[in-house]
Amino acid sequence: MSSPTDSSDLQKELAQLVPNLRAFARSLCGNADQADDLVQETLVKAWRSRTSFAPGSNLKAWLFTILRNTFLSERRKRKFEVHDSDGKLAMQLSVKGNQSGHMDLLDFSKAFATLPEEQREALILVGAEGFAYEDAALMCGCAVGTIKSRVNRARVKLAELLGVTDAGELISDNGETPTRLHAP
Amino acid sequence: MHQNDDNEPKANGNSQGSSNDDHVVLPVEAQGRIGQHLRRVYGEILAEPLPDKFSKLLSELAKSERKE
Repeated sequence: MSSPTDSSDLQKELAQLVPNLRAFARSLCGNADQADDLVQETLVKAWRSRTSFAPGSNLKAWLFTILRNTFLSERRKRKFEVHDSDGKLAMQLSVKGNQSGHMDLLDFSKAFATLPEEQREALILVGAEGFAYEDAALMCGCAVGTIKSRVNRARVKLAELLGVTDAGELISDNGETPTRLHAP
Repeated sequence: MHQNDDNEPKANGNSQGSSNDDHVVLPVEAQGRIGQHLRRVYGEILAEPLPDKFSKLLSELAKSERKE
């Protein structure tokens, strides 16, 4: 069993990754409350099986894998009902009204929500979280080429839906600098 | 639309006019634009204030271990 020092380190590291777990969970199940339940369940499972985590390996990848497996098994048990009737399910955002620039994000979210689930997942892991294709493939239990293909299809479809052309023409950007709130 | 994306991926060819998305590769700049938007949207979720329940849960887990 790990020493108290180890476990307080782990506690800190887990706490730091909670925002990422929440964001990933939200993109999987689309409902903020369900996503938070999923994150809590993931933290408990991770804590209980912490001795199986190989020190020095990628903690975030390990946690994301636990979260993803938990989501899939819960959904099999129909605990997470998926209602995507109006296409707003995936990655619901706190898009505040009347703020300039937010229309873009709303459009993006709508377009994102139309992608097949496995493409959304691949794009989040690689494009948003910055996982290597190889890590994303391990996490999703598929071939590296499959992940590459999913990411590419997702990008092509988003570009089509959002009117991004070769020249980089895009929905108006207000000259804002995109926020990049996480380390790549 | 077909969604059988588990077929063997093709190498990054550049042939235009194919109906198979695997043959379409976005120009780097367009990929960058899509990526910027994705990270901005994702970043909004990352930046949301965290409810206390998560830190409480982690403290409880750590506490329960000390009693073990």
